[in-house]
Amino acid sequence: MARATMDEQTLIALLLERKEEGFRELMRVYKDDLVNYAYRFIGSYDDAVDVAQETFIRVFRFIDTFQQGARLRTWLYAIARNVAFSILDERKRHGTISMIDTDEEGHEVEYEAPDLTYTPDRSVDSTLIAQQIQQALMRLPPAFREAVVLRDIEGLSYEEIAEVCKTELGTVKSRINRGRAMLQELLRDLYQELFGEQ
Amino acid sequence: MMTHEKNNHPDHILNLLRQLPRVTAPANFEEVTLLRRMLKELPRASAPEDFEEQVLRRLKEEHQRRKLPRIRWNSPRTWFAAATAAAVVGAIVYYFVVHFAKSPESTPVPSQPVIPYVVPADTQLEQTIAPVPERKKEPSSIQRRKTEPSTSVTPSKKVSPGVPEHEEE
Repeated sequence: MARATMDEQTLIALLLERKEEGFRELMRVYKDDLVNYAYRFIGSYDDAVDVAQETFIRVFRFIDTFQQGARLRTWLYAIARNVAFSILDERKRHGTISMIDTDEEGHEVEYEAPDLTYTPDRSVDSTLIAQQIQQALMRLPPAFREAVVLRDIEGLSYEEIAEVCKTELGTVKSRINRGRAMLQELLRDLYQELFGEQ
Repeated sequence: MMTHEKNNHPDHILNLLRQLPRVTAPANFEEVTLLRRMLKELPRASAPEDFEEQVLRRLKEEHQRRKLPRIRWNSPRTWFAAATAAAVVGAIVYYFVVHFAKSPESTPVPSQPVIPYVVPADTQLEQTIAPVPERKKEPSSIQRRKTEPSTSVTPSKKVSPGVPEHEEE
């Protein structure tokens, strides 16, 4: 996250007044985080930029609905998440097969048939290791993927993730653990290559 | 002060604290740590240079579009407004229809009795064929004066328009 030049309350006040200055500051601080989150979640850099842009447009449109006392960062991630899911839904309508299962706590989790032809964007993931990890991430169910990305890549706390995903804390922890376990399985070969016998 | 209090803790509390079960790392702790490190070290995607300008341009475009009133047919509000408008128009039309149907002005005008058109016998036939409205007028006083001196006894004929006179003969 880029360094903010003003405190959050001042920034929110400027946004509520629809001041361009506030809007530019918001984008300067959060644009890279949102693009990175969206890229790791939906796997396409161009779509990720679209997600981030749409997120800021929605912020401008719905800033009046922002609840005082809420965290701006989690609100932004929540909007970006909704936009990203709508892109995934759009893709699903174009022929991807999905299956629904339940997790340990009985919540429905959607599994998509992994796209084995997926290749990461080489302008972002220039190394082979990074490409392998991104490929493995894309093979996780979206609910697990978003939890792992928000926790281990974006560094959000469990509480913040629960707020973003509008779910319970226990569910978040469960999804993170299961997502990590699945990633470990998918990256087993890479582990052995990098760290020897594990 | 604090150190003095701490030193006065009874030994049995310390013993109890020592007996608390120890939390151990999960079996896959190292693997998870490595995984998290790898994820953390992934290169970060950043926004393009002109990101802000693109967003501001899109916002301006959207603002322009919003100035024009657009009907959103997928909105229930639109359908409600349309239904209300239709009901109001329908009520107005119904009111006027019922109101005028009952008013005396709306009673049908009785048809005028057909008065046979009598053409004087000495009138030119060509003048009688075409039903010209002006001819229904009463003959002018000059015309009457011209016709009166003849004092013809010839009875006037009924000529229906369009029927040539020679056929009767």
